[in-house]
Amino acid sequence: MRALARIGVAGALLLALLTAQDAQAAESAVVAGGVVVALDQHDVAATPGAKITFASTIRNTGDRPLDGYVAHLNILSTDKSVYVDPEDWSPKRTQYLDELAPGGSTTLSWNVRAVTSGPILLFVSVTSPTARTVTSSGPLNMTVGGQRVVNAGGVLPLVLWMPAGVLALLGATSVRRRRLR
Amino acid sequence: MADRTVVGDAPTLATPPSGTRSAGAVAEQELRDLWLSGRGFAMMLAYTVLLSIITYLVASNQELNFLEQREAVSLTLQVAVAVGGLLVVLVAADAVSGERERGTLESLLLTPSPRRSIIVGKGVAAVSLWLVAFALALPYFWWIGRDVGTFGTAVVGGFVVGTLLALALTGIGLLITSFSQSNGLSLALSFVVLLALYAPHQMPAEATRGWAGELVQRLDPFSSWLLYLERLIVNDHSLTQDASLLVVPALCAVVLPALALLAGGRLSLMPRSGA
Repeated sequence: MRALARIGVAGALLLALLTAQDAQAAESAVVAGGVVVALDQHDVAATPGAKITFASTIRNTGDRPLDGYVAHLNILSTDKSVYVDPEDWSPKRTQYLDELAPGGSTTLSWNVRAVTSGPILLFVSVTSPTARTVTSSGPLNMTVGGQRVVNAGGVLPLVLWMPAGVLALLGATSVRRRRLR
Repeated sequence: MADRTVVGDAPTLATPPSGTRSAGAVAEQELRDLWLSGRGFAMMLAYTVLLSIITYLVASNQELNFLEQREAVSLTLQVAVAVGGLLVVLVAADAVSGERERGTLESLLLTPSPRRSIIVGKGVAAVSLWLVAFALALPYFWWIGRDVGTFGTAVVGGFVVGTLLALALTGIGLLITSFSQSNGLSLALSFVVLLALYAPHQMPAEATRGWAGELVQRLDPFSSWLLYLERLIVNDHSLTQDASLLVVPALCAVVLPALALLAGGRLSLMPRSGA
């Protein structure tokens, strides 16, 4: 009987623990749902090498403070032929938020340098280790145009004749040395 | 100069040559040795081959051609300046220890030229490598940057930065070679110093942020000149906009050759132990 009673108590404890975890998860989801991320710009045009600065406002619309939240800038191209390495565009793409009180907001500034031509899409995502969801802003459409790459026409004469000229000078000094011997 | 007025206009044969004249004579001899022996042109051949490969890849290789044209100019300029500096170190680090190793330093020290004149002459020969290398790099800069109007900026910026770097590296090379018994030691030490100066530039972007990262970038002459050239060419800054970045390279270009000159006054044979 005692053994049965012990099993019953253990089962009850386990049930209580699982219920508490479910409640915590639900609470996190509510908190994550209480975050709104908005950008101050929606469309921007740039040329390669140009620096663009924009801001994102993170607002706590829930009824609990937000703690441990992280904002991350995402950069991608909607054209599959355009290669984007986010590190080249913005080396600092992650920012850590201070505690945000209910109804409060914070503004983060992001610096981006346009690297290659093409349609680029940027957005800011916010999450925390306990949030279980990721909240993102709307997109900032960046159109980068006017990239100039080196025109390969006529490169061969240059890259061949320059070393050839120096080789000729080297040969001339060699001939001179032999004559002097 | 005042002494000469008292003694008379015509110096006697026994009068030792003035510092400037003997430095000029040593420089002339060193330049002849470097260029007429073909050693300088052999280095320039390797230099132009390297620049040709980079230019060809920048123009035709899909991965590198992805670079924006200004970045391509910046890349070529940085390589041209860095490799030019490397060649300068190669010659400067050989200047005294090479003579010592070949057993020709004794006869050089027996000439009436002051020891510092020997150092100046050898320094001039080392810097001449940079000047010729830069002249050979000009067609490459023009060809890569011809459509974006960066040629003038690249030439002026590259020449200023490269000359500062060449002077500083000549100072380092001469300083090390004056105290090295063997050429191998001198070259190895010079390259270690060169790599140590280049290392801060290779730090990840995260490490260069904050006041400490910024300070390291500004104190390290290599990092600051690379940053200067990048801002000048890629970000289209004016020549004077980031002039503060050239303060440390300029100081190094003055202080290091001056130290080498001071050390040159104590130039000795330094016989090997046991010899």
